[in-house]
Amino acid sequence: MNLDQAFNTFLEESREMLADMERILLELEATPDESELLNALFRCVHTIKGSAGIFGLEHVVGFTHVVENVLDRLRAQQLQLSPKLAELLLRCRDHIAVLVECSAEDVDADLQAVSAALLAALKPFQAEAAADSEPAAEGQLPAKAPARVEATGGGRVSGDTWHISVRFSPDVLRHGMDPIGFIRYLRTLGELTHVATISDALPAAADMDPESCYLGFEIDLRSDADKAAIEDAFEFVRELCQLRILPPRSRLQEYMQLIEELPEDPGRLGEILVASGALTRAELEEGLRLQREHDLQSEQPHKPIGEVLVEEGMVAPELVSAALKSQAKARESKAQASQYIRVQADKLDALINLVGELVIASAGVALNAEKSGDTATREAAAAMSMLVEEIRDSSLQLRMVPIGETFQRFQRVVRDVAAELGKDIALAISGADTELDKTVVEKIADPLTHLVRNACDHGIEPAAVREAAGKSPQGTVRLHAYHESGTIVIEVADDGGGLNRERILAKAIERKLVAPGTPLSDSEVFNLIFEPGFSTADQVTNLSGRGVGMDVVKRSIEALRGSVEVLSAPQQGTTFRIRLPLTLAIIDGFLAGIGDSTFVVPLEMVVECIEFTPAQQQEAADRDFINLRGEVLPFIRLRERFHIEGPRSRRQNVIVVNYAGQKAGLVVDALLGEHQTVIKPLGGVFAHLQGISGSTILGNGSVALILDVPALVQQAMASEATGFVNRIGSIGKGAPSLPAPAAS
Amino acid sequence: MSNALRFDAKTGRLRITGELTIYQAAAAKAELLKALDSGRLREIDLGAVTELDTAGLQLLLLAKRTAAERGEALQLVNHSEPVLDVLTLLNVDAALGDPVLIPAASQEPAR
Repeated sequence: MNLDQAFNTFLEESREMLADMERILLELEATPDESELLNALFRCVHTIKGSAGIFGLEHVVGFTHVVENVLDRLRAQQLQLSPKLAELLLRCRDHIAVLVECSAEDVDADLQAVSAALLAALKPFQAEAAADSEPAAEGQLPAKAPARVEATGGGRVSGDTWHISVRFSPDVLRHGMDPIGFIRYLRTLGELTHVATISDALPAAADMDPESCYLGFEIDLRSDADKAAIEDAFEFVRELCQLRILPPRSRLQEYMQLIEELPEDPGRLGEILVASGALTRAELEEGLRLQREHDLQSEQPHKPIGEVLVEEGMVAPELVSAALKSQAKARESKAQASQYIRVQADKLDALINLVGELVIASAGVALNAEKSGDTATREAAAAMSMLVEEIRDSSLQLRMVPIGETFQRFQRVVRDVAAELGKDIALAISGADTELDKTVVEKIADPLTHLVRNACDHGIEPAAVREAAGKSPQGTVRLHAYHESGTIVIEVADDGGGLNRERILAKAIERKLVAPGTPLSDSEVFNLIFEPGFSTADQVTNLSGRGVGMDVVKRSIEALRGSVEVLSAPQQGTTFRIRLPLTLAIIDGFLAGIGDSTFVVPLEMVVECIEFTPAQQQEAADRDFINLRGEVLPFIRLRERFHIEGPRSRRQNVIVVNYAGQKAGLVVDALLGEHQTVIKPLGGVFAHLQGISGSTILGNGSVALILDVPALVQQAMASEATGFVNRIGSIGKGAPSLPAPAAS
Repeated sequence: MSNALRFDAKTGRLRITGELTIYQAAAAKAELLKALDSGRLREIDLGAVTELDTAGLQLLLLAKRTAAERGEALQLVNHSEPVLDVLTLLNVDAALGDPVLIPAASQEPAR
């Protein structure tokens, strides 16, 4: 692990912390006194500050320190979290996010101005005393190393261990460092022969600050490591401790100097050194005698040996990782964070591509094995196909992420939008565990943002209007996700006034989108809002209402092979229901043959296959629906739909498909079974093709077209509905029940 | 987070549960002093301590010293594994002067 990698880890961690921080702040707005949350909030900032300190990002440390102080007071109940303060802390969070991403040199005047403004705003919330002793000064010990006199004479001591003397600054704990961790780390360098804990500095109970460190340690270490390695062990607290290291067999004089320099009583320290085996009793007596003699003389100044510093910026990578690990451990205790491995997205993509090719190749193997007729080969091929299927499923699973994280982001969106509009809006989230493809998640975020903003702006009425209508003054925007037959459904719902059918229709007629007097169903009217440039808002706010957007929303959803529908009821609200495929790359397909052509129907959408009996064919000769166990099933004759020539097979079959709660039948010649289908998108030339969503390559090398079931279902519905009007007089007795309207 | 100090004034026993670290230090100190000030604190039960850091250690040292200054006897008892680990690493078990029960399974508690 090199420093760059460690730094990336830091960035990732900080981003997570900042996301947590935002979430916690928003939760705190509902429950301002929740101490668990306040603690968690403090830890977020604390961790960022600690890690930033490791990498010497002073601009981050300086700013976070002040924020941390305020959070500390909140935590200690010395402050109340007012909405104003919460707002300010959110802005501080945003600023920290900016600071973390840029290096110290990138901090320009603008950023500094933001820093200064925020710090000034934080000032009233800070502890009175904190103002002057700000971070740099507070964290450092006074400059040390007064010139020492060198001893003439004085033999070397007999101890064969390194002697390490360390006194930690009171602030070391607040910087997220635990001295015990450093001593544990020393154990990896060699054998700790003796550790003495010096607690003399611990003040009386009343004066003791439980978050300050008062301890020092005298450590004897038997190790082959060199001095730099031992010093590096304390790299992260270099500025937060007084560290003295004496090599094995140091001159006695150096020990005496050490004893002199330390704040504790020399007699007591001498005892400690003797107890730890660093000095013998005789050596101590000798040293003290020499010391007294030298006090009487004046000699050349000499820099203490402990002052020899390794070059600045020399950081042993394992130490960075050790420190990061201890930081991570601190966080673990708070959230039992699950274990994750970070993998670059493009590596995953490459894997999935390969799996796609593997699926095609294995289909070829299976086909050839089938042809060869050799049982052993067929068995082997079948076993392999099964494994390939599992590999496919688990590699696709790798890309699946819960949508909850995306949903959480909208807490902030709703909050900000509501504040701007002066409305009181709550966001309710359900189905956050629902998983879908990472690419889809990324691409759906923008359309969702648009819909959520729209719901806040147009959907939810002003509080006064709501109260007049007998509703709670607080509006609710609901985000809901769930799986439904191979698709994921995301709903953005509001409990506002609902869409105004008349106004939309009037506007559409005015814009010549529909001819006056056209009979339109509710859903057809509502779908008009997806027309480019369509807006019914009386006033344009800076959030929405300019009429750009809904068409873009629809387009980006369709680009993901999804669909969107609007449901609305007056005074009850509007729901946008988005359906998306679970993944973009591979689907389970169902093969059907018509003449010489092969088509693929996504298997998730297939409900059942039935024989199209001659009797039914007779019955349905002049209409496009059959009676399926008492239900009306509109169908499409694919042979006619795609103008396929060639002789009709004697037996016809109907594949019953289900999309968005609508059933329809597809009439085909032959049912060819399941097939793993790697979707190859159609070229731009075929973009206008209706009813085909893509293509795939079969094991024998031929191309099969993938049917666009949603489009076909809609077509079946439409033709069935118009046909119905024409036929209504001609249908005799025994006609099936009325068809369901095209949309609810 | 699940830190709890429960002081039973009848038995004089203070039981610490969960972590005793910098994150709990402020609250723990207040509880500890309250128990000390009651004048009845005789034992601190560390059996359920899951993590001890420098801040936590300082509190234990503080409690011992304060009790000694007031001429009261205070024992740390029932040291849990993580506590023992720290105490032996830093060699403060002797300084604290309490009998430590080393579990049979880990006769070499330093590692």
